[in-house]
Amino acid sequence: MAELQMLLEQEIPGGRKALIDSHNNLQKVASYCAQHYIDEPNKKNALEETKNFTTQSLASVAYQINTLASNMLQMLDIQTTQLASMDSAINNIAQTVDIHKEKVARREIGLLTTNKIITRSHQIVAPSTPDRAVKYVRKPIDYTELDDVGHGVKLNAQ
Amino acid sequence: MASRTNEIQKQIQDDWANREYIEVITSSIKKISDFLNGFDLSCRSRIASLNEKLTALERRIEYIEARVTMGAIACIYSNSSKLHISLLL
Amino acid sequence: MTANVMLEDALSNVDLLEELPLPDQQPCIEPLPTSLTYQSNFDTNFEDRNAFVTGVAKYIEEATVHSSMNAMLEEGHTYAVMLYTWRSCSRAIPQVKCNEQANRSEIYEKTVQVLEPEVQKLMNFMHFQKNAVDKFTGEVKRLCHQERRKDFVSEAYLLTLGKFINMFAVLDALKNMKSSVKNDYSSYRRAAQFLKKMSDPQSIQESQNLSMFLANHDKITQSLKLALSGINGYEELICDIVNISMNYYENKMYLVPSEKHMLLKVMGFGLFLLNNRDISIYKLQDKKRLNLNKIDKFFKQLQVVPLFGDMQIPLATYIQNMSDYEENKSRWSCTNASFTTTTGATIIPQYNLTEQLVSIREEHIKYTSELARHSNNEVVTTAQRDQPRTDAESEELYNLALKGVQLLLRWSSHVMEVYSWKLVHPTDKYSNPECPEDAEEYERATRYNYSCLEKYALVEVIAMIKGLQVLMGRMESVFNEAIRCHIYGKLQDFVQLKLRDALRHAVKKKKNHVKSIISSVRETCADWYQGFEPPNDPAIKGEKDPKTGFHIDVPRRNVGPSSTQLYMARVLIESLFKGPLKKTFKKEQDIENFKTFHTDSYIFPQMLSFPETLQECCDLSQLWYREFYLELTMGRRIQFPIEMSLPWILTDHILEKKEPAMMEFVLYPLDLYSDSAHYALTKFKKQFLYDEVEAEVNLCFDQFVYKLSDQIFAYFKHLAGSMLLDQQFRQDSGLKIPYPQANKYETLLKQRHVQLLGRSIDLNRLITQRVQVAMHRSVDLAIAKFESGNITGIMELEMLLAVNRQTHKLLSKHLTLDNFSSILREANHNVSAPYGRITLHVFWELNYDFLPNYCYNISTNRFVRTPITFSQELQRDKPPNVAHHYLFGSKQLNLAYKEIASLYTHFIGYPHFAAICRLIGYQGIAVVIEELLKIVKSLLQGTIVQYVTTLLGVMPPICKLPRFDYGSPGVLEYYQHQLKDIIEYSELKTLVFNNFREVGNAILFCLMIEQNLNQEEICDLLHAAPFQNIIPRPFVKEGEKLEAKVKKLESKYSSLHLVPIIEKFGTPQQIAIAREGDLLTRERLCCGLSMFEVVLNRIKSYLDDPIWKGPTPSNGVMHVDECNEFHRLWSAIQFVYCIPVRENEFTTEQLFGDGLHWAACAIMTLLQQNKRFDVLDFSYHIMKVQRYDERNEVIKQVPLKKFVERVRKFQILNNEIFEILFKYLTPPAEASTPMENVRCFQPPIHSSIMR
Repeated sequence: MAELQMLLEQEIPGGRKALIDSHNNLQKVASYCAQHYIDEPNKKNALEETKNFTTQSLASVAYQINTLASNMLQMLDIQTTQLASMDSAINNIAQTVDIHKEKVARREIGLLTTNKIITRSHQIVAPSTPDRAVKYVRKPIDYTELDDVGHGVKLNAQ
Repeated sequence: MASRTNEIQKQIQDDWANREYIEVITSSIKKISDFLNGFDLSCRSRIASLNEKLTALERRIEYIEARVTMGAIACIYSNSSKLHISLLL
Repeated sequence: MTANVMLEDALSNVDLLEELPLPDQQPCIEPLPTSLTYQSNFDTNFEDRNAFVTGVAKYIEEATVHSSMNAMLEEGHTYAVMLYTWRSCSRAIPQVKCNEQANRSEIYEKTVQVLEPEVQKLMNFMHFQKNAVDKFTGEVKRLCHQERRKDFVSEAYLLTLGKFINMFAVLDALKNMKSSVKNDYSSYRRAAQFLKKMSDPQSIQESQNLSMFLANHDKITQSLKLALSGINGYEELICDIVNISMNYYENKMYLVPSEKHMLLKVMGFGLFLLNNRDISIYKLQDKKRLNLNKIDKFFKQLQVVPLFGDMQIPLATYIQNMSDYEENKSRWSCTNASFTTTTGATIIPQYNLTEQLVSIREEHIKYTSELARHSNNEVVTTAQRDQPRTDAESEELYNLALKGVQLLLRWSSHVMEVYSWKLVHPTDKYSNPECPEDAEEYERATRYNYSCLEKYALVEVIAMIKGLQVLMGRMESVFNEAIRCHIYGKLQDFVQLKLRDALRHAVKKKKNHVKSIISSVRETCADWYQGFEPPNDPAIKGEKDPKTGFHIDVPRRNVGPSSTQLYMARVLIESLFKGPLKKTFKKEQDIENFKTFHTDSYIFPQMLSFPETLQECCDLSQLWYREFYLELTMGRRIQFPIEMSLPWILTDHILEKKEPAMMEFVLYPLDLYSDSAHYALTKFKKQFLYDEVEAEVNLCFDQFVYKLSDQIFAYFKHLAGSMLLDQQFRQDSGLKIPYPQANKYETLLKQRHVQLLGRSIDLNRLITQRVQVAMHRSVDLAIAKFESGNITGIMELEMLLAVNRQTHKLLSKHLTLDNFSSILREANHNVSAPYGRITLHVFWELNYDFLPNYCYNISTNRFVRTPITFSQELQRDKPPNVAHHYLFGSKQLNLAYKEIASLYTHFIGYPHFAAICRLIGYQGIAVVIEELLKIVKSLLQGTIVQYVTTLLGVMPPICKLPRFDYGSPGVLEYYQHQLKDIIEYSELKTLVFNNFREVGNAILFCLMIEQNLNQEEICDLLHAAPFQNIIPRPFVKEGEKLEAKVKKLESKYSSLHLVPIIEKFGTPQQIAIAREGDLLTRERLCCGLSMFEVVLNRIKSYLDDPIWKGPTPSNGVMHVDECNEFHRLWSAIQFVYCIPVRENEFTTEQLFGDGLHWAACAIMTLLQQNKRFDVLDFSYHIMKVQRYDERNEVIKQVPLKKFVERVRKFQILNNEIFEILFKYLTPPAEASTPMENVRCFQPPIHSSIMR
């Protein structure tokens, strides 16, 4: 972040200012050379001098543009990464909000629900202890067994 | 006479050299201007995508804000305004 | 030589710039985007002529004249611009109505003050025109002087004279055309005279001349002809000019379209000038001075040529206006009627662009591939360009550049010629049916004058021109360098090597004049290797070269000759093979050398300023200017609407027709505006023209973006609609449902910086904004459509939302839109409000339509609309009618989806409930059930309880179950008698049943909504399972052990298991979110929670009124015969609806469905009266008796057998309902203990024993 700050505050405006300054003084140099060429009797060195100025200014302008451009590109890279991290932060927030909303919804429907006990009772349960087969013993039928049941008449207890 | 022609000859030769120099300078200025054009296009597209991402994020924040700040009184008027459910939450 | 060292550093700095990475993924489908244009022009216009002292004095003097002529031509152009762009001011000034008008002097004052500067310009124009004519005639007189005839006039000079002729023609035509100039001047004169401003005679005379000058037609040509007629032999020079322009035209010696048209105009106007006094061009042809047939061929082949801006000149008019034209009409084929008439004019090949398009395409492809080959190896080699290119390479690149420029020239001149031909031949309602009766002149020339194919051809050619300009623009610095090297090499080789033979020959033969010329050429141009002429060159002494040949190494520089140097060389060379010196040369070879050099070097100046020539070749700015037609409207039109301007016509044509092949060219016609605006600023230098272009661009661009984004949205919606349409349906249905025609919007959507009028526009962003709005509107309309229909509309809503979601997915590949759920929530007004429009409408429909009007059928498990509704009619909003692409995408798709959706509109069943669950979610279901319960509560504690009380009141107090002995008819009759009042109770079969049905439907809704909700949840769980490491039980063969198998599977799919992965890689916050998300996915309603039970218990709580339970039974156990409990009442009601109805009547099932039984059974189960109902129900008893005695009589119109069948049906239904309710109600916990809470009673003691 600090690097971006430094870039934004100093380097890029500085580069820009440098370019503007070179723009102004190049104009001054140009007018000087033109004037100088006219007054100077020895045209040769005047021309030579102008050529020097042009070469030098070309070099400096190229250099300044280069630095400013690379600074700009660097700034753009940093900002891209910054935006990416912001993006993921917002994703997280969005997801937490969604989760919260879902919980609210579930709480609301929760009021309408009770827990349903699903017993996984198996319909047929094999008895743990297999009961032994009981041999069949024949007993004669006693027909008077149910005499005193269900007719409401009190027999005197036999 | 010969010296004068040599003199002129020299001038014309120098003229060729100077003009070549000028051509070299103008072509390098042209290169710089081409670079600047390329730089401009590339920065514009990068800034455009950054801008796009930024606006998308802004919209999402606004949306989340709206979702989170449940209005104290949220009156929902169905468009046919026959049914008013005002919920105090 | 520090300078040189420094130069290397400077150049390395510049090359360093190349290293910076400049990624730009935007496909270039627009003309060369240059925010910074840099062009250097070293044409000195002969200022430096004195420096070349070595040249021949005659030509230096000619150079001075030449430069002054060029200056005059320049000034002539400014006046042409002034005339062309003149807009009438006087029309805007209020006219003085009558003489006594009070403020007339003030008006006149103002008029004079306003028009003063304009009139001053006209005055200067008049003076300029006079000087120009004098200058021209002076030159002609000088050249036609007797002894000068022998000498030759250089071609360059002839051409400049030709340009003069062209200037006169243009100025004259403009003056004739612009009537507004005359009006302005006359209103100025009137005002000035009134104000007595023109006091001195001199100014009166001046203004008189000016008005005469402006007033009469072709004034300039007449004064020119008058002046020329004074010079005898002027026709010879004019013929030379015409011949030279013919020759240049024939050999295509031009590099810019304006030059080509200038040559043709010079020919035409030149002939027109010859038509003077006694000179006749036909006589001249006989004297072989002119070749009229060739001119005729040219004029026939290219009939119309742009004169200036949108002013056109049919070349044949020059011929037709000649006085001696009538007699020699036969000679001219270009002027005969068939070609120039408008109606049915057979389009000559030159103007039939669609045909030419094929050849243009071929050339384009061939050339671009060649160019690509070169640019590829250029890119590779420029990096380490240490030694300069070889001559061959430079030559190849030079020819490549030349060929490219010539191609561009041909194409753009083609476009301009077609445009001008069209302007001169406006269509009418006969040749173009679409052209309305009252179409304006300009409309007929542009809007209705181009067929669809022609428009496509125009766009394609424009695209090719601008595309090629981009490619060549990228190679510009390479071309410049190659051109300079090539020309330098050509010149130096010619001067230093080829001239040696001619020089040797001249020295040997003592031809001093020739020698001086050749040596002067060498001195002006040569750039000797050692800095001076090789002294020992035998050629200078006239001797032969030694056997081994005399080697001169010629230097190579990356610079071309200066304009004056080149001019001097060419003129001198020309003098060698033209004019008197021609005979001195015996050897053909020398003449040949001179000729080739001369013709080749003609285009050197234009090639040296290659960027400018390239730009001029691709300049299509005149397609927008329409001053000529504005003038024709005589003030009716300040400016034409955009529908009439060609750039918009082309752009709009592409957008309307949605032609895929053309879609990617759509930016090119828009760029025509940039050309026109650039021309307005740089050449016309008129701010108001620029403002008009800008205004039109603002309007057009808005329309352009609006139509484009609308079209893109429609296209993707249509695509999504066709993707989701059921394929089976598509085959079986008779409808023809076309897929959308594939279209190339991707490239347009990638445009981040489109250059228009110098501004850079992010097209993607603009389209995203509009598509976003369209997306919102489309979802909003889907919900509005649902809100305007009944609840069955939920199915169509889900389909619509699915199509919208798919569209959103397709669009998101190219545009960053809000995510779909936020769009849906926003449209659903569900962002800050807890319940959305869908939920509200679902509830609204349930309450007002579903409950009262739908009948449930337990076997089909569906609700069907009742034939007769008892609730008051429900009025809904009108469904929004809206463009097709806001619904399913296209007309046919809408019909298809409508048909599919219509299948669901006649019933309500599982699909609808599933859709409701998905759309309104937990919160929605919760609020809907809450509200339904409130309604049931209001019903149960309101109307129903009143009905029950009144009906119970009407019930007979005691109603036994008669014994079997009475026989079923008897029993039936007994009940008919007992329940007479209930049967006759009027509202029973209508309102009572309806209320019960409403309660029943509500209960059913809750039941079915829960079932569907569980199904949805199970689907979600199964979808989520693989990512939660939940593995379904694998099939275990005997040998394997289950646990081992599961372990193996889990390890296999561990990569899918989400939470641990996030725990490994994610940030703490993401881990928390992941865990919580996982928890929420796992804990769904269906695993362990039930809603229906709560609903039933709630309803139970509503049955608090004592009437439901009735008084406590006297015998402490239950009422047997007393009719004071609800179930008794329901038995009576059941008896009522079991009575079979007559044919035309509706049965209760048809009217109310099973809902009413559900309500009753629910109430009874909740009051635990269901068992007593089963046992003591009257109808059941009748059925038992009838079963026993099988009797089938009709008692009081009630057929017993039918009655019993109905009872049997309802018994099954009731038992089923009881069964379902029992399953939900009795908590299984108690069921596990077999013991019921049993109360033991002492058995009753028989009365006989009691005593």
